[in-house]
Amino acid sequence: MHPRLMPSGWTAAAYTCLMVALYVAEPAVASLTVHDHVQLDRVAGITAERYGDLLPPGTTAVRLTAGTYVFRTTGDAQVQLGEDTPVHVLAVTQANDKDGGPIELSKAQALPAAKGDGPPDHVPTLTVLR
Amino acid sequence: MTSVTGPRSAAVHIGADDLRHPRHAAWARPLSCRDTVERLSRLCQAAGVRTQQALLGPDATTGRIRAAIAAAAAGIGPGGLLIVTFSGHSERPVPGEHDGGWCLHDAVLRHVETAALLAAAPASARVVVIADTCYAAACAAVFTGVPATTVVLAACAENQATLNYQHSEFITKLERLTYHGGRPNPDCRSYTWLRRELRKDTPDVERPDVRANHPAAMRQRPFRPAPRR
Repeated sequence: MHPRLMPSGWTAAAYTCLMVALYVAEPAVASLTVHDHVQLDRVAGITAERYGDLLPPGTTAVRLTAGTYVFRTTGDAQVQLGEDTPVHVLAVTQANDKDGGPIELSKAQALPAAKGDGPPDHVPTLTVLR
Repeated sequence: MTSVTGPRSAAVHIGADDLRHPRHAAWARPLSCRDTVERLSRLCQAAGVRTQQALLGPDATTGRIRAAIAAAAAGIGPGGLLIVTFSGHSERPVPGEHDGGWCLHDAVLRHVETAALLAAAPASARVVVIADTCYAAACAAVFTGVPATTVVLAACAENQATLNYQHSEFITKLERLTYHGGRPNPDCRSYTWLRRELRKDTPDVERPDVRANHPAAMRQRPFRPAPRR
């Protein structure tokens, strides 16, 4: 973690966040490996609903129906899929960047933005394995 | 419904979902503001708060918000209760520049300004701030200097972001834990309890928090004015 010096003299942890989107064309199973407690949301337009229980640290196999899912984590994440699994996985590092910048708009427009003014200080790494 | 007599209570609800400042105008419109204001108005009514003001969209200007908070803080009197709620975008603290703030229709209301406005409340009063936004707990560090006992209910930590959905999970959970269906939850006896329940079953990347400028305030029953002496 990178300490962030605040004006009043105290330090706060850095804003660390990796947002991952999964576009699932057909029902599939994905193995998600995370290092913290992670909430998986199923996104539909401007609403989202929690999909299952919180994922604990470690590897969890998740059965996904067709749709769009997002999760955010404070650590590196790994998504493992079968070779022909119709799931597109995207690290949405630009979704919080309100200053613009390159972003895969056709995908990102369907994803929620944050209610803050800047990108994370540190974006953990996403690894996708097939 | 709980009736509050004696000390005055007031609430100011801010739903800043129409941002016109050049820096903010291109940002995604906050989606949950109206729902959050509606839910928190209902919560405050159930808590016995008689005087409520909601400033939404183009009405959520820095001028009108400053005036509303200042008037409410000055008007509650000794032992009174002031609830200020904010839903919308926030700017993160920038070291050496500012401590962060809430993005309003025309500009940012810095937390240090809000603290100065809240300082008009008598020291014997109670202030509750509900921040449904990114970096929500950042204001708590600034509000430590408010003379009145001040409790901040934050949707997330100062280094965390909340996502822009139509409904705020933090707010719906807060309503359910405190005044579900307009009836007080008998289990909700302290801010310590409320903090624990709000944080239960939440992801590490976005965890609500409850912070007070005096440790003893965490033992208070949420949304109640100071007892009469």
